[in-house]
Amino acid sequence: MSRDPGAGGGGLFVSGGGDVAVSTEEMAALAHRLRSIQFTSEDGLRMLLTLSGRADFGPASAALTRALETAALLELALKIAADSYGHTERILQLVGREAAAGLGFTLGRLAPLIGLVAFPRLLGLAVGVAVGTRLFPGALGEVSAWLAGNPRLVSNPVTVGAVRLMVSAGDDTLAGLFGMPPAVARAIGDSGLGVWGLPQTAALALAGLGGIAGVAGTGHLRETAVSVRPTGARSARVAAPFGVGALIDRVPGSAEGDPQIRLERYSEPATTGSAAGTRWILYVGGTIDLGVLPETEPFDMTSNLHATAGADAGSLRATAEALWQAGVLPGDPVLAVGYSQGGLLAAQLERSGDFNVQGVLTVGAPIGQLALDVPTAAIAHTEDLVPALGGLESATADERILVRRSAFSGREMPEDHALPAHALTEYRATAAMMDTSIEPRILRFRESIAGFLSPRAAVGSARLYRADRVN
Amino acid sequence: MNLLSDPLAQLAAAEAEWELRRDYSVVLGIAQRVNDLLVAGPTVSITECSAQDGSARQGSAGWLGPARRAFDGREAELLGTLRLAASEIEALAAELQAAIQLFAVSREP
Repeated sequence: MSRDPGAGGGGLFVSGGGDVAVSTEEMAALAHRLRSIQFTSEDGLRMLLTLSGRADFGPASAALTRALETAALLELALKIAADSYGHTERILQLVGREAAAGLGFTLGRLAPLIGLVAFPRLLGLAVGVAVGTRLFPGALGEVSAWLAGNPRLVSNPVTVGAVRLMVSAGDDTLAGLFGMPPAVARAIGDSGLGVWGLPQTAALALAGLGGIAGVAGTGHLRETAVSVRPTGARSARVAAPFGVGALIDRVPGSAEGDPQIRLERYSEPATTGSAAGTRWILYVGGTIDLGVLPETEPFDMTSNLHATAGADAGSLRATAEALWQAGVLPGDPVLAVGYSQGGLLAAQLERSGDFNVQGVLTVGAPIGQLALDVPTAAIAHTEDLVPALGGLESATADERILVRRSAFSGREMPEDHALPAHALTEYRATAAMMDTSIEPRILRFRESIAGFLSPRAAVGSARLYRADRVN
Repeated sequence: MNLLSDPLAQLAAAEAEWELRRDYSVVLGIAQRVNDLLVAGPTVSITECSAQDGSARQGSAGWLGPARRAFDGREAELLGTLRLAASEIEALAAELQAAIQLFAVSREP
C-alpha cells in the first residue's frame, strides 16, 4: 500500500541558531502576521496625517493606534512564550542529563560489584542464549522480526528521549567504572569541557570490541581499504536545486549495490570583484549494511562506529575520495548534505578541514555533539531513534538550527518498517516544509546556502559514485 | 452674490473638493489594508500551537503557563481593536464621501 509521506504529521519546531527560543511554524506565522498588523497600522497613521483636515480623523487615528499597540504587545508576549518554551526545554534537558549522568556514574562505579554478583546469572543467561540459538536457529531472527513488527516501541518519543539520555550518560558510566572522581568526570565530560564525551566513549567501545574481535580473529568492526568509482557518465545538465526539499530529494537512497554518493558541480562566471569559480553540492546516503562484520559495503555499522568515534571510517574515506576524484579543490565551496550516516559524514568532513565546506544539512543524523563552524541545519523526527544515538545536543555554541517534527502526529505509524520515522521518504516531506516556512532562523539558513541554490546557481552537472570495501 | 459666479469662490471650492477626493482615496486605501488583515482570518491561537506539540513535548508546552494565558486573552482584544479601526476608518470614508456629494449637488443647475 502506498502512502503519502508527510501527509498529516506535525508542524516544524525550530531551536538553536544562537537563540534560546523554541518556535513552531504557527508561532512564526503568527509573529509575521502581528508584524504586518503593526506595519499596516503605522502606515495608516502616517497616511491619516497627510489628510487636509477637512474631516475629523481623530477616532480612526485612535483606533489604529490601539491596534498597533495591541499587536506590539502580542508580539512581545509571543517572544516571551517562545523564550519560555526554550528555557523550559533547557531545564528539562539539564535535569534529565544530570539524572542520567548521576545514574550512569553510579552504575559505572558499581559495575565491578554488579558484575561479581550477577556473574553466575549472566553466565547462565549466556549459556541459555547460546544453547537456545543452537537449538532454535531462527530465534534471533524472530526477535528482530518482532522489533520490526512493533515499530511503536522503538519509535516512541519517550524511548527516543531515553536513548538520547543513555547515550549522553555513556561517558559518565565509563568515568565511574574507571574510578574517576565525580567532579573531574563532570568537568571534562560533555556537559563540561567536552574533553571526554561520546566520540571518546565510542572510541573506547571500538577499541574494546575490536580488540575482542581481533583476539577471536573474527574481523568484526575492523576497518578496511575502500575503492571508489563513478557510476555512469557525467550527466549532461542538471538544474540547481530550488531549496531544502530539493536538496534532500537528491540524496541517494540506501539500497544494496547502489551508489552512495552524489556530487553536483556548478560553475560560477567571473563577476566584478570575484573570479570565476566552482561550487559543489555533496549528497551522502545512509547506512546500507547493518552488520558489524565488514563485507563489501562501506556504509555499514563499522563505519558508523568509527565515524562516531572520529576515527578513520571507510565511508568517510570513500566520500573524501569521491570529492578528490571529481576534482574538488581545497578552496572550492562545498555544501554537504547527508542522511543518517551520510549526515554524520557531512559533519565529520566539515570538521576535518580538508575541504571548504560552507554549509551542512543533515536529516536523521546522530550529530548532536559535533560542533561545526559553518551554517548547519539538523532535521530530526521526534520518533526517530537514529539522531538520538548522537546524544543530547551539546554543540550549542555554533549557529546550527535544529528542526524537529513529529512524523506521525495525527496519523497511523506504518508497520512495514522497523524505524518508520527514519525513512528518507518521511524526511523528504519534512525538508520540503522548510521551503515554505517563514521562521526567521530557517530563513537565515536558506539565505546562508543560497549561493548553492537556484537562481544563484543555475545549471551544472551531476555524477554518482559507488564505494566498496577492499578486503 | 451667487458664489458660483465668483471665480475666486469657484477656485476655492474646486480646491476643497479636490482635497476631499484625495483624502477619500487615502482613507479608502487604509480601509482596504485593514480589511485585508481582517479577511485573512483570526490569528492563530498559541494554544493550538501547543496542541500540535506531540506527546513527547507536552511537558515543555504545559510549563509555559502565564505567558501562554496572557497571550490567549489578548488575541480577541487584537481582533476587536482591528474591527474598531476598520469601522472608524469606514465612518471617516463615509463622512468624506458625503462632503464630496455636497459639492456634486451644489454644481447641479
